[in-house]
Amino acid sequence: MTAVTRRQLAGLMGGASAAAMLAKGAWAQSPARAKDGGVVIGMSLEPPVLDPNLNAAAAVREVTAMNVYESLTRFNAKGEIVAGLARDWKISEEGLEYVFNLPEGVKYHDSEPCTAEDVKFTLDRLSAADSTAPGKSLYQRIAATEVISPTVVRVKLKSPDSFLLHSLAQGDAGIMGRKSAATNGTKPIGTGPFMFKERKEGDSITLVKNPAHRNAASVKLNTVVFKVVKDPAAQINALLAGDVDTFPGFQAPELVNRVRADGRFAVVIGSTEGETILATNNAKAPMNDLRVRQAIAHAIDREELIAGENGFAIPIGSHFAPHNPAYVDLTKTYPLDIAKAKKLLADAGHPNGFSASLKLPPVGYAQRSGEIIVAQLAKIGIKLSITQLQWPQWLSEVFREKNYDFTIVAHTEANDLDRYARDGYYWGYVSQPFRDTWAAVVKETDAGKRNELLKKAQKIVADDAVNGFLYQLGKVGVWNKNLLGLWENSPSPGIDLAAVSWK
Amino acid sequence: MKGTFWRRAIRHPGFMLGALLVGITVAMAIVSIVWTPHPYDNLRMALKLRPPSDVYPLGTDHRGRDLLSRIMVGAQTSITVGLIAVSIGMTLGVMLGAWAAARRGWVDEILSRFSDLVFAFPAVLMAILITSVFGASATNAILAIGIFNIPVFARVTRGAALTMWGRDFVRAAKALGLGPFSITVRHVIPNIASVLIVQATIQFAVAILAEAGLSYLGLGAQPPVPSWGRMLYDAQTYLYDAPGLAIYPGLAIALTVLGLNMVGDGLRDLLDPRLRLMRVG
Amino acid sequence: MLEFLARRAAAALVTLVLASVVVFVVLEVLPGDPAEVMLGTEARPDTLAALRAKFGFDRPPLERYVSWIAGLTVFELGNSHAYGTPVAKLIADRIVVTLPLGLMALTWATIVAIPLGVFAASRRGSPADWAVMGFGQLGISVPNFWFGILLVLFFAVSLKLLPAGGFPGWRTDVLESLRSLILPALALSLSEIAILSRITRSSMLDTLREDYVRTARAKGVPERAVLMKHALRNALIPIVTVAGLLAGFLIAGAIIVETVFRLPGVGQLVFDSINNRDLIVIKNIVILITACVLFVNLLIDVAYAFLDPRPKVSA
Repeated sequence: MTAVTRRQLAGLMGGASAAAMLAKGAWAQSPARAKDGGVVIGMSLEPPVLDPNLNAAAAVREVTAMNVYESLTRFNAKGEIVAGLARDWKISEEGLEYVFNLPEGVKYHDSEPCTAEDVKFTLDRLSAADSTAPGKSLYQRIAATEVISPTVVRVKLKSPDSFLLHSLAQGDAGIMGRKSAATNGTKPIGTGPFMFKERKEGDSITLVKNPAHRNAASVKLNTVVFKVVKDPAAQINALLAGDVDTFPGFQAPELVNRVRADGRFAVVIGSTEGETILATNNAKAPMNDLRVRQAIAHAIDREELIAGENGFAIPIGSHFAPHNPAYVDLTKTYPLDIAKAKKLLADAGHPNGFSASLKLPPVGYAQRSGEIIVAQLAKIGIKLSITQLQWPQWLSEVFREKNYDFTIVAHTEANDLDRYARDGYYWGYVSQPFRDTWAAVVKETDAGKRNELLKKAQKIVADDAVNGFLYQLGKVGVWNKNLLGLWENSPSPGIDLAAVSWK
Repeated sequence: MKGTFWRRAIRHPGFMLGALLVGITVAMAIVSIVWTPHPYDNLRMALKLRPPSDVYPLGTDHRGRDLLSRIMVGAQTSITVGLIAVSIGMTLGVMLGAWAAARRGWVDEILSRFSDLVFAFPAVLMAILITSVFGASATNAILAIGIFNIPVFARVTRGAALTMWGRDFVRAAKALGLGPFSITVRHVIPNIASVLIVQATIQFAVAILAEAGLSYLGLGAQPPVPSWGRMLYDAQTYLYDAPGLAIYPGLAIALTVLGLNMVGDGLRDLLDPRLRLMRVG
Repeated sequence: MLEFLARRAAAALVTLVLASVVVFVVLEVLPGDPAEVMLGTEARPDTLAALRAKFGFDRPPLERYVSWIAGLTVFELGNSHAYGTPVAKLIADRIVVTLPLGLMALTWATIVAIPLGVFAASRRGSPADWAVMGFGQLGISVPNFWFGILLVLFFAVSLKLLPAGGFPGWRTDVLESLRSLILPALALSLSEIAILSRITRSSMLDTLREDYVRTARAKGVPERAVLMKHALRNALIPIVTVAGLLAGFLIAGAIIVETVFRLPGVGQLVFDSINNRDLIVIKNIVILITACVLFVNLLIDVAYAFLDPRPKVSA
C-alpha cells in the first residue's frame, strides 16, 4: 500500500508541476485589485492593540508607523534619519535642546488639528513618570517638552543624547491626538497618509488612503489590507494562490526557491537590525568562565547555521550590524576550531563537557538554528536540551527571571550595543571597560570619533565572548514583480506604504 | 486456562493482526535503542529533502536526517509516553474507582463530580494549558495525558467493582469480617482484571494519538528527539517538495494505534465479550 | 422524575463552578502575563507595575475571581488585553467558522455512518460487514490532523481542487468560504463516521433481535421496511445520544484541525490567546465550551429520562 501511494503521488506531483510550468507564463501578472490601487500585505505576526506608544510589538509598527501615525523624524529606505512630521529642527550647541518646526494645517483623520500641544502630549505619554510606554527608556533623557507656538516645539534633555533623533524616528514615537489617543488601540487615528478602516481580529486590518494628507498627490495606493498568515506553509500557499501580493518579511527562507520558481515574485534579501545570538547566562556557572564561553565560540560553525537560513544571513563576530558605518569584522576572533575548543573546556575543568538548557522562543530562526547549535556543541561535549517556550514564557522565564543557560534570539532594535552596559540585563554581563567606553559613546557628538569608540565597544564584547555571535538576520522580502517601492532593508519595523505603487 | 487462551488467540485474526502491528512498532523501538540505519540526530544541511534511495530508504528530512531512523526512534517516544501516561492514569484511576465502589456515599459523589469535570473540560485545551504552565516536554505531555486517563479507569473500575460487591463470594467475605480494603484487594480487583487489561490496551491507543496531537502542536517531546506528531508538523512546510515526510510518520501512528485497537477488541472477545468499555479522546 | 432532573442540573452546575476554579487557578500560575507581552523586552519594572495595576492584576485573587464570575452571570465578558476589543465580539467572530465546520462534519458523519451501520447490521458476518467494521477500526486509529494533511496533499497540492487552508470570510466570498471548510470538515468527520457507524451497527443488531421485528418479518413485511421502519427508528436513540456526545468532542478536535488548515476559528483563538497570555479570553472561552458540553450532556440525560421511565442510578 505504501509503495502504491508513493508511486501514485509521484505521478500526480509530476503532472501538477508540469501544469504549473505551463501556467507560469512569461511575465509577472498583477492581481485584479492592482487596477484599483489595492494591495494585500502578508504579515507573519498579528499586531495586538494598534497603539505603538503603548505596545512593544513590531507588528504594530509595521501597520501604523509612517502610514497611520507620523513621528517627528523618520527613516528613509536607506536607513537615514529624515524629516517626518517635523519640517526641520535645530539642535543647540551643547546638545541639550532640540527645537522642531511643524508644518501648518496638519489634521488628524478625525479632522482635529495637529499642533505642538499634541507633540508635547505624545512625548509626555512616552517619558513622563507615570508613563506605561514600553519604550520609556529610549526617551528617558527628555527633561521637558515645551510648546513655543502651535507649530514650534522645544525638547529639553537632561543630558546629551546622540541617539535622540533616531529614537524619535521609531514607530514608538508616532504623534497622537489628545482627543483620540485613548481609543487608538482599537480605532487608530493619526496624521499619516493612510487611515484605519476596519479590523478583523485574527485575520486582517484594512487601511485606506487619506485624501487630506499634505502629500496625498504622490500616494498611489487606495486600499491596503494587512493579512495575518503565520505559518510558513500557509504563507507560500497564500502567495501562490494570489491572495497576498507581498510578504515584506517572509518567514520561510527554506521555501524561497519555490517562490522564485513561480516567476511572478521578486525575492529580495535585505538587511535587518537583528543580531542573532546564542545568548548566554554569564552570571551562571560554568558559563561565567571566559574559557567556557571562548570554547563555545570556537565550536560555532556560522557557515552551517547560515546554510540553515538558506544562506540569507550574514555572519557576525560581535553584537553589531554589518551595514552600519561603524562596523568592524570580528568573525575571526574565535575561528571554528574544535580541538582548541575542547582544550579550553578542559582547562576550565570540564574535559567531558557539561549539560545545559537551551530555551527557544517560538520564532523560525531560533527553531532552525537551535537544533544546529545542539549538534555543534555536542561535538565538544556540551549537551544542550531544548525547551520550546511560548513568547510570554520566554519573556518571563528567560528575560526577566534569568532562569536559563542558553537561548537563541535576534536583538532587532537598532544600536542595541548599549545592552552590554546595562545593570541586571539577562546576560548577566558586567564589564567596567565596556561601560566606560559606552558612556563615552553616548556623550560623543562627533561622528568620526563616535565610530571609533563603537568599534572599540564591539571588540570588547567579542573578546569577552559574552554571547555566541551567530549571524545578522536577513530580511527576506517577497513581492509581486509589478509592485514597486517596497523597502529592501528594514532599518526599523515599518512599511512605508506612501512609496508603494503598481507598475 | 492459559493454554486455551493462547489457542483461541491464535485463531482470532483481528487479535493476531493487531499483535503483529504492535509487535512491529515495539520491535522498531527496541532495535532503535541499539541500532538505526543512520544516526537520528545527525544534521547535514547539504543532504536535506533527499528522495528515497538505497542509502536512505524513506529519504531525508529538512535537515538532512534519515527519515527511517527518526521514525524508529520516534516509536520509543510514542511508546514511552503512552505507557507511562496510561500507567499513571490506571494506577490512580483504579484506586479511586475501587475506593468509590467500596465506600459509596460521599466518596462516590466526589469521584463522579471529578470525572464529570474532566470529561466536560476540553481535553486538548487543558493539555495546552498544563504544558504552558510547566513548559513543553515529554514529561509534561505524559502528565497531561495521564490526568485524563484517571477518570476513565475510575469509572470503569467503579462500574465493574460495584457488580462484584453484589456477588455472593464478596458477601461471604464480608460476613467473615474482612474489611473493605482486603476485600477489594483479594476479591474485587482480581475479578475485574480482564476489563482493566482491555481498557488499558485501548487507552494506550488513545494516549498514542494524544501524544501525536500534542507534539504536532509543539507541546510534546522536544527536538532533536523525534516524535511522530512533530515530524508531521514540520513536514507540512515541505508538502510540495517531499510529500513522503508527511506520509510515513502518520502511517506509523495510524498502524500502531490500529494495532492496539485490534488487540484491545480481540482481548475483549477472548476474555469476556460482554465487557462494557469506554472510549474517550 | 423532576427530582432526578434537578439533581442532574445541580451536578452540572457544581461541575461548571469547579471548572471555573480550575481555569482560574491554572491562569494564576501561568508564567508570563499580558502586561509583559504588551511591553516587550525594553519595558522598565516601574512601567510594568503601572500597567499591571491598570489591568487590575494587583487586586487579591479572590476579588478578581468573584468579579469575573459576577460578570459572567450577566454575560459581561470584558475586553481582550491583546486587541482591546470585547471578548464577546472576538468569540462571535470565530464561532461563525467553528460552528459551521462542526455542523458540516457532524452532518457528513451522520449521512455516511448511519446507512453504513444499517447496511453492516443487515448483512451481519458478511464480507461487507467485515469491511465496515474494519473501516471503523481504521477511522478511530488515524489521527485527524494527519488525515487532514493527506487531504491537503491530494485535493490541494496534487489535484488543486480545493484550497489548502485559510478562510476568506463569509462577507468576502460565501462560496469560497464554504469550499475552504470542506477538507477540514472531512478530516474532522473521519473518526465520527467510524464511531457512529459502529454504534449504529450494534444498536441495529440489538433491535433486530426484538420480538416486534420478528413479528414484522413473520408477517411478510419486506426486509427494507423492517430495517427502516421498525428497527432503525428504535435504534436511533443511542445513535442520537452518541452523536450528541460527539458534538462535544468536535470542539476539542477542531483545535488541531483548525491548526492544520489555518482556520480562524474558536480553537485558533484559544491557541493564540494562550500564546499572547490574553488571560481574559482564555478563561471565558474555556468556561463557555465547558458549559456547552455540560448542557449537551444534560439534554441527553433529559431525553433519556423521558424516553426511558425506569429509575436511574447516576451514570
